[in-house]
Amino acid sequence: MPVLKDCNIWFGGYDLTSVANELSIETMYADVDVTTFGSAGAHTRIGGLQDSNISLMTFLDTSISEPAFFGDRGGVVELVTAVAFPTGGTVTAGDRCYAARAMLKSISDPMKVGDAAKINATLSGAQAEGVLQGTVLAAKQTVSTGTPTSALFNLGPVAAGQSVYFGVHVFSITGDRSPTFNCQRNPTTPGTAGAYTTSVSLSRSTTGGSFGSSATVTTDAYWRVACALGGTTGSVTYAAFVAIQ
Amino acid sequence: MATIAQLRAGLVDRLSTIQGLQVYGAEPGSITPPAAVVVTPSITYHASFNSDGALKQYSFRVMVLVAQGLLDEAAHNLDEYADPTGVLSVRAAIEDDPTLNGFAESLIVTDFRPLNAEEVASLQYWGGSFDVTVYAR
Repeated sequence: MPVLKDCNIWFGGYDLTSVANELSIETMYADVDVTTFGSAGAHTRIGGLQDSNISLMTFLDTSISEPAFFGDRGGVVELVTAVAFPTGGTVTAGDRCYAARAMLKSISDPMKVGDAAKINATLSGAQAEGVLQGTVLAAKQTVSTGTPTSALFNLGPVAAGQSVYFGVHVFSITGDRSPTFNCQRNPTTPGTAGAYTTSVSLSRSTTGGSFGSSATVTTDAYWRVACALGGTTGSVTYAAFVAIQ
Repeated sequence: MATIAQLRAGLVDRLSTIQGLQVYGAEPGSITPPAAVVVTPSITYHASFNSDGALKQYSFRVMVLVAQGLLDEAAHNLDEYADPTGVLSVRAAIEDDPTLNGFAESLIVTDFRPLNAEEVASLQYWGGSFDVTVYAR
Protein backbone atom coordinates (compact mmCIF):
# COMPACT_ATOMS: atom_id res chain seq x y z
CA MET A 1 0.00 0.00 0.00
CA PRO A 2 1.74 3.17 -1.12
CA VAL A 3 1.70 6.19 1.16
CA LEU A 4 0.52 9.37 -0.55
CA LYS A 5 3.30 11.94 -0.52
CA ASP A 6 3.76 13.29 -4.00
CA CYS A 7 0.33 13.40 -5.62
CA ASN A 8 0.68 15.90 -8.46
CA ILE A 9 -2.44 17.94 -9.12
CA TRP A 10 -2.85 19.99 -12.26
CA PHE A 11 -5.79 22.37 -12.42
CA GLY A 12 -6.12 24.06 -15.79
CA GLY A 13 -2.96 26.14 -16.10
CA TYR A 14 -1.98 25.79 -12.45
CA ASP A 15 0.19 23.19 -10.75
CA LEU A 16 -1.37 22.86 -7.30
CA THR A 17 1.01 20.13 -6.13
CA SER A 18 3.03 22.17 -3.66
CA VAL A 19 0.03 23.87 -2.06
CA ALA A 20 -2.43 20.96 -1.92
CA ASN A 21 -2.58 18.43 0.86
CA GLU A 22 -5.78 16.56 0.16
CA LEU A 23 -7.66 15.48 -2.94
CA SER A 24 -10.77 13.38 -3.30
CA ILE A 25 -12.15 12.10 -6.61
CA GLU A 26 -15.52 10.46 -6.27
CA THR A 27 -17.53 8.68 -8.95
CA MET A 28 -21.02 7.51 -8.15
CA TYR A 29 -24.05 6.11 -9.93
CA ALA A 30 -27.66 6.77 -9.12
CA ASP A 31 -29.58 3.69 -8.07
CA VAL A 32 -32.95 3.70 -9.80
CA ASP A 33 -35.66 1.69 -8.11
CA VAL A 34 -37.62 -0.46 -10.59
CA THR A 35 -39.44 -2.57 -8.04
CA THR A 36 -42.76 -4.01 -9.17
CA PHE A 37 -45.48 -6.09 -7.55
CA GLY A 38 -43.76 -9.05 -9.19
CA SER A 39 -40.41 -8.43 -7.48
CA ALA A 40 -41.02 -11.14 -4.88
CA GLY A 41 -41.08 -8.70 -1.98
CA ALA A 42 -37.64 -7.24 -2.59
CA HIS A 43 -36.42 -4.01 -4.12
CA THR A 44 -35.04 -4.26 -7.62
CA ARG A 45 -32.69 -1.56 -8.82
CA ILE A 46 -30.79 -0.60 -11.95
CA GLY A 47 -27.88 1.75 -12.42
CA GLY A 48 -28.79 5.34 -13.23
CA LEU A 49 -26.85 8.40 -14.22
CA GLN A 50 -23.16 8.65 -13.46
CA ASP A 51 -21.90 11.62 -11.49
CA SER A 52 -18.54 12.68 -10.12
CA ASN A 53 -17.18 15.08 -7.53
CA ILE A 54 -13.71 16.42 -6.92
CA SER A 55 -12.65 18.02 -3.66
CA LEU A 56 -9.37 19.89 -3.35
CA MET A 57 -7.83 21.10 -0.11
CA THR A 58 -5.01 23.64 -0.46
CA PHE A 59 -3.09 26.17 1.52
CA LEU A 60 -3.93 29.67 0.40
CA ASP A 61 -1.29 30.87 -2.04
CA THR A 62 -2.07 34.16 -3.72
CA SER A 63 -0.18 33.17 -6.86
CA ILE A 64 -1.42 29.56 -7.20
CA SER A 65 -4.52 28.29 -5.45
CA GLU A 66 -6.36 31.58 -5.03
CA PRO A 67 -6.26 32.65 -8.71
CA ALA A 68 -6.86 29.05 -9.81
CA PHE A 69 -10.14 28.79 -7.94
CA PHE A 70 -11.34 32.37 -8.10
CA GLY A 71 -10.63 32.47 -11.82
CA ASP A 72 -13.10 29.65 -12.39
CA ARG A 73 -16.18 31.21 -10.86
CA GLY A 74 -19.22 31.36 -13.08
CA GLY A 75 -19.50 27.91 -14.57
CA VAL A 76 -16.08 27.48 -16.14
CA VAL A 77 -15.36 23.83 -16.95
CA GLU A 78 -11.78 23.06 -15.94
CA LEU A 79 -9.50 20.16 -16.71
CA VAL A 80 -8.24 18.56 -13.49
CA THR A 81 -5.57 15.86 -13.53
CA ALA A 82 -4.09 13.97 -10.60
CA VAL A 83 -1.01 11.76 -10.70
CA ALA A 84 -1.35 9.97 -7.40
CA PHE A 85 1.79 7.85 -7.40
CA PRO A 86 4.48 9.42 -9.58
CA THR A 87 7.50 7.24 -10.22
CA GLY A 88 10.12 7.94 -7.56
CA GLY A 89 8.17 10.98 -6.40
CA THR A 90 8.53 12.79 -9.74
CA VAL A 91 5.95 12.54 -12.49
CA THR A 92 7.37 10.51 -15.35
CA ALA A 93 5.89 9.68 -18.75
CA GLY A 94 4.03 6.41 -18.34
CA ASP A 95 2.65 7.19 -14.86
CA ARG A 96 -1.04 6.52 -14.28
CA CYS A 97 -3.32 9.49 -13.79
CA TYR A 98 -6.93 10.41 -13.15
CA ALA A 99 -8.54 13.28 -15.01
CA ALA A 100 -11.89 14.94 -15.38
CA ARG A 101 -13.47 18.03 -16.79
CA ALA A 102 -15.29 19.56 -13.88
CA MET A 103 -17.15 22.70 -12.96
CA LEU A 104 -16.43 24.68 -9.83
CA LYS A 105 -19.27 24.14 -7.38
CA SER A 106 -18.02 25.86 -4.27
CA ILE A 107 -15.02 27.57 -2.73
CA SER A 108 -14.43 27.71 0.99
CA ASP A 109 -11.92 29.73 2.95
CA PRO A 110 -11.83 28.25 6.43
CA MET A 111 -10.47 30.95 8.70
CA LYS A 112 -9.53 30.17 12.25
CA VAL A 113 -7.13 32.20 14.29
CA GLY A 114 -3.77 30.51 14.51
CA ASP A 115 -4.36 28.15 11.58
CA ALA A 116 -2.50 28.27 8.28
CA ALA A 117 -4.75 29.98 5.74
CA LYS A 118 -6.49 27.56 3.39
CA ILE A 119 -8.68 27.69 0.35
CA ASN A 120 -10.65 24.64 -0.68
CA ALA A 121 -12.73 23.88 -3.74
CA THR A 122 -15.30 21.31 -4.76
CA LEU A 123 -16.09 20.58 -8.38
CA SER A 124 -18.73 18.52 -10.13
CA GLY A 125 -18.04 16.38 -13.16
CA ALA A 126 -19.34 18.36 -16.11
CA GLN A 127 -18.83 16.24 -19.20
CA ALA A 128 -20.01 12.85 -20.42
CA GLU A 129 -16.68 11.05 -20.11
CA GLY A 130 -16.73 11.42 -16.32
CA VAL A 131 -13.52 10.53 -14.51
CA LEU A 132 -10.87 9.12 -16.82
CA GLN A 133 -8.07 6.80 -15.84
CA GLY A 134 -5.23 7.53 -18.21
CA THR A 135 -1.49 7.65 -18.73
CA VAL A 136 0.83 10.63 -18.58
CA LEU A 137 2.59 10.85 -21.95
CA ALA A 138 4.40 14.12 -21.30
CA ALA A 139 5.45 14.93 -17.74
CA LYS A 140 5.54 18.60 -16.82
CA GLN A 141 8.35 20.05 -18.87
CA THR A 142 9.58 23.31 -20.36
CA VAL A 143 10.52 23.29 -24.04
CA SER A 144 11.85 26.07 -26.20
CA THR A 145 13.33 24.46 -29.29
CA GLY A 146 12.58 21.81 -31.89
CA THR A 147 9.47 19.64 -31.99
CA PRO A 148 9.32 17.94 -28.61
CA THR A 149 7.90 14.45 -28.88
CA SER A 150 7.20 11.95 -26.15
CA ALA A 151 8.15 8.30 -26.22
CA LEU A 152 5.65 5.82 -27.66
CA PHE A 153 3.47 4.03 -25.15
CA ASN A 154 1.41 0.92 -25.75
CA LEU A 155 -2.01 2.03 -24.52
CA GLY A 156 -3.93 -0.35 -26.77
CA PRO A 157 -6.34 0.13 -29.68
CA VAL A 158 -9.56 2.12 -29.71
CA ALA A 159 -12.45 -0.31 -30.11
CA ALA A 160 -15.96 0.45 -31.27
CA GLY A 161 -17.76 2.35 -28.54
CA GLN A 162 -14.51 3.66 -27.10
CA SER A 163 -12.77 7.00 -27.49
CA VAL A 164 -9.26 8.26 -27.06
CA TYR A 165 -9.21 11.27 -24.71
CA PHE A 166 -6.35 13.74 -24.82
CA GLY A 167 -5.69 16.41 -22.20
CA VAL A 168 -3.01 19.09 -22.02
CA HIS A 169 -2.14 21.48 -19.21
CA VAL A 170 -0.16 24.54 -20.29
CA PHE A 171 1.40 26.12 -17.21
CA SER A 172 3.36 28.88 -18.88
CA ILE A 173 3.93 30.45 -22.27
CA THR A 174 6.59 33.06 -22.91
CA GLY A 175 7.56 35.01 -26.01
CA ASP A 176 5.34 34.53 -29.04
CA ARG A 177 4.81 30.78 -28.68
CA SER A 178 1.40 29.40 -29.67
CA PRO A 179 1.81 25.64 -29.30
CA THR A 180 -0.18 22.86 -30.92
CA PHE A 181 -0.25 19.50 -29.21
CA ASN A 182 -0.93 16.42 -31.30
CA CYS A 183 -1.98 13.08 -29.89
CA GLN A 184 -0.56 10.64 -32.42
CA ARG A 185 -0.87 6.89 -32.92
CA ASN A 186 1.21 4.29 -34.66
CA PRO A 187 0.73 0.58 -35.44
CA THR A 188 4.23 -0.44 -34.42
CA THR A 189 7.01 0.50 -32.07
CA PRO A 190 9.34 2.16 -32.56
CA GLY A 191 7.11 4.11 -34.90
CA THR A 192 7.84 3.96 -38.55
CA ALA A 193 8.72 7.44 -39.76
CA GLY A 194 5.82 8.97 -41.57
CA ALA A 195 3.30 6.45 -40.32
CA TYR A 196 2.00 8.49 -37.42
CA THR A 197 -1.64 9.49 -37.50
CA THR A 198 -2.91 12.41 -35.47
CA SER A 199 -6.04 11.49 -33.52
CA VAL A 200 -6.58 14.72 -31.59
CA SER A 201 -5.00 18.12 -32.06
CA LEU A 202 -5.17 20.92 -29.46
CA SER A 203 -3.89 24.47 -29.82
CA ARG A 204 -3.34 27.07 -27.10
CA SER A 205 -1.94 30.56 -27.02
CA THR A 206 -2.53 31.09 -23.29
CA THR A 207 -2.06 29.07 -20.15
CA GLY A 208 -4.83 26.67 -19.18
CA GLY A 209 -6.18 23.22 -19.83
CA SER A 210 -7.27 21.83 -23.19
CA PHE A 211 -9.13 18.64 -23.89
CA GLY A 212 -10.26 16.70 -26.93
CA SER A 213 -11.34 13.25 -27.96
CA SER A 214 -11.77 10.99 -30.97
CA ALA A 215 -14.08 8.02 -31.35
CA THR A 216 -12.33 6.78 -34.48
CA VAL A 217 -11.85 3.05 -34.24
CA THR A 218 -8.24 1.98 -34.75
CA THR A 219 -6.07 -1.05 -34.23
CA ASP A 220 -3.06 1.20 -33.67
CA ALA A 221 -1.91 0.57 -30.12
CA TYR A 222 1.04 2.91 -29.70
CA TRP A 223 0.56 6.54 -28.70
CA ARG A 224 2.65 9.66 -28.26
CA VAL A 225 2.36 13.42 -27.90
CA ALA A 226 4.09 15.74 -30.36
CA CYS A 227 4.30 19.45 -29.68
CA ALA A 228 4.69 22.08 -32.40
CA LEU A 229 5.83 25.16 -30.53
CA GLY A 230 4.67 27.82 -32.99
CA GLY A 231 6.21 31.29 -32.97
CA THR A 232 9.92 31.95 -32.88
CA THR A 233 10.88 32.97 -29.34
CA GLY A 234 10.09 31.90 -25.81
CA SER A 235 9.17 28.63 -24.17
CA VAL A 236 6.19 26.48 -23.21
CA THR A 237 5.72 24.54 -19.99
CA TYR A 238 3.16 21.77 -20.32
CA ALA A 239 2.07 18.26 -19.40
CA ALA A 240 -0.19 15.88 -21.32
CA PHE A 241 -2.06 12.62 -20.85
CA VAL A 242 -4.06 10.14 -22.91
CA ALA A 243 -6.86 7.85 -21.81
CA ILE A 244 -8.69 5.22 -23.85
CA GLN A 245 -12.02 4.03 -22.56
CA MET B 1 13.99 25.46 0.45
CA ALA B 2 14.72 26.60 3.96
CA THR B 3 17.02 24.75 6.32
CA ILE B 4 16.55 24.47 10.05
CA ALA B 5 19.69 26.56 10.50
CA GLN B 6 18.23 29.38 8.39
CA LEU B 7 14.98 29.38 10.34
CA ARG B 8 16.82 29.18 13.64
CA ALA B 9 19.03 32.09 12.57
CA GLY B 10 15.92 34.06 11.66
CA LEU B 11 14.48 33.53 15.12
CA VAL B 12 17.80 34.54 16.67
CA ASP B 13 17.72 37.74 14.61
CA ARG B 14 14.21 38.53 15.76
CA LEU B 15 14.98 37.86 19.42
CA SER B 16 18.15 39.93 19.16
CA THR B 17 16.00 43.00 18.57
CA ILE B 18 14.96 42.80 22.24
CA GLN B 19 17.37 45.02 24.08
CA GLY B 20 19.37 43.33 26.82
CA LEU B 21 18.29 39.80 25.95
CA GLN B 22 21.16 37.33 25.41
CA VAL B 23 20.12 35.07 22.55
CA TYR B 24 21.42 31.54 21.98
CA GLY B 25 20.77 29.76 18.69
CA ALA B 26 21.08 26.33 20.28
CA GLU B 27 20.98 24.77 23.69
CA PRO B 28 24.02 26.29 25.51
CA GLY B 29 26.14 24.85 28.32
CA SER B 30 25.69 27.99 30.37
CA ILE B 31 23.81 31.25 29.97
CA THR B 32 23.94 34.86 30.96
CA PRO B 33 20.47 36.02 32.00
CA PRO B 34 18.19 37.31 30.80
CA ALA B 35 18.53 34.82 27.98
CA ALA B 36 16.52 33.31 25.15
CA VAL B 37 17.34 29.87 23.78
CA VAL B 38 16.00 28.60 20.44
CA VAL B 39 15.44 24.88 20.94
CA THR B 40 15.66 22.37 18.06
CA PRO B 41 12.17 22.11 16.53
CA SER B 42 9.88 19.20 15.92
CA ILE B 43 8.88 18.97 12.25
CA THR B 44 5.87 17.82 10.27
CA TYR B 45 7.42 17.10 6.89
CA HIS B 46 4.42 16.50 4.63
CA ALA B 47 2.02 19.37 5.19
CA SER B 48 1.41 19.40 1.43
CA PHE B 49 2.11 17.12 -1.53
CA ASN B 50 5.47 17.22 -3.34
CA SER B 51 8.02 15.65 -0.98
CA ASP B 52 11.03 17.87 -1.59
CA GLY B 53 9.10 21.09 -2.09
CA ALA B 54 6.33 20.26 0.37
CA LEU B 55 5.24 22.77 2.93
CA LYS B 56 6.72 21.83 6.29
CA GLN B 57 5.54 22.78 9.74
CA TYR B 58 8.31 23.50 12.22
CA SER B 59 7.34 23.67 15.87
CA PHE B 60 10.04 25.69 17.61
CA ARG B 61 10.30 26.31 21.30
CA VAL B 62 11.95 29.46 22.58
CA MET B 63 12.90 29.35 26.24
CA VAL B 64 13.38 32.62 28.07
CA LEU B 65 15.27 32.51 31.37
CA VAL B 66 15.71 35.32 33.84
CA ALA B 67 17.84 35.48 36.98
CA GLN B 68 16.00 33.92 39.88
CA GLY B 69 17.09 36.43 42.54
CA LEU B 70 14.00 37.41 44.42
CA LEU B 71 11.20 35.27 43.02
CA ASP B 72 8.66 38.04 42.71
CA GLU B 73 11.19 40.19 40.89
CA ALA B 74 11.99 37.32 38.50
CA ALA B 75 8.31 36.76 37.80
CA HIS B 76 7.82 40.42 37.03
CA ASN B 77 10.80 40.36 34.68
CA LEU B 78 9.36 37.34 32.91
CA ASP B 79 5.99 39.07 32.59
CA GLU B 80 7.47 41.67 30.31
CA TYR B 81 8.84 39.04 27.93
CA ALA B 82 5.49 37.22 27.95
CA ASP B 83 3.46 40.35 27.31
CA PRO B 84 1.79 40.27 23.87
CA THR B 85 3.13 43.74 23.08
CA GLY B 86 5.86 46.02 24.35
CA VAL B 87 9.55 46.55 23.79
CA LEU B 88 10.44 43.30 25.58
CA SER B 89 7.62 41.22 24.10
CA VAL B 90 8.96 38.01 22.58
CA ARG B 91 5.73 37.46 20.62
CA ALA B 92 5.88 40.91 19.08
CA ALA B 93 9.56 40.63 18.21
CA ILE B 94 9.18 37.27 16.47
CA GLU B 95 5.93 38.03 14.63
CA ASP B 96 7.35 41.34 13.38
CA ASP B 97 9.03 39.39 10.55
CA PRO B 98 6.89 36.34 9.74
CA THR B 99 9.25 35.38 6.90
CA LEU B 100 12.34 35.09 9.10
CA ASN B 101 14.59 36.92 6.66
CA GLY B 102 12.69 35.49 3.70
CA PHE B 103 13.11 31.80 4.52
CA ALA B 104 9.64 31.13 5.97
CA GLU B 105 6.20 31.43 4.40
CA SER B 106 4.59 32.39 7.68
CA LEU B 107 4.76 31.92 11.42
CA ILE B 108 2.79 32.43 14.58
CA VAL B 109 3.70 32.49 18.26
CA THR B 110 0.87 30.42 19.64
CA ASP B 111 1.55 29.90 23.34
CA PHE B 112 3.55 30.90 26.36
CA ARG B 113 3.92 28.65 29.36
CA PRO B 114 5.76 29.49 32.60
CA LEU B 115 8.36 26.88 33.47
CA ASN B 116 9.00 27.85 37.07
CA ALA B 117 12.58 27.31 38.21
CA GLU B 118 14.98 25.86 35.63
CA GLU B 119 18.50 24.69 36.30
CA VAL B 120 21.21 25.49 33.78
CA ALA B 121 24.86 24.69 34.59
CA SER B 122 23.92 24.15 38.25
CA LEU B 123 22.35 27.61 38.51
CA GLN B 124 18.66 28.27 39.00
CA TYR B 125 16.72 30.51 36.66
CA TRP B 126 13.08 31.50 36.34
CA GLY B 127 11.81 30.60 32.95
CA GLY B 128 9.09 30.46 30.37
CA SER B 129 8.61 28.73 27.03
CA PHE B 130 7.14 30.16 23.82
CA ASP B 131 5.74 27.86 21.12
CA VAL B 132 6.47 29.16 17.63
CA THR B 133 4.91 27.45 14.59
CA VAL B 134 6.82 28.20 11.40
CA TYR B 135 5.63 27.23 7.91
CA ALA B 136 8.39 26.88 5.34
CA ARG B 137 9.36 24.79 2.31
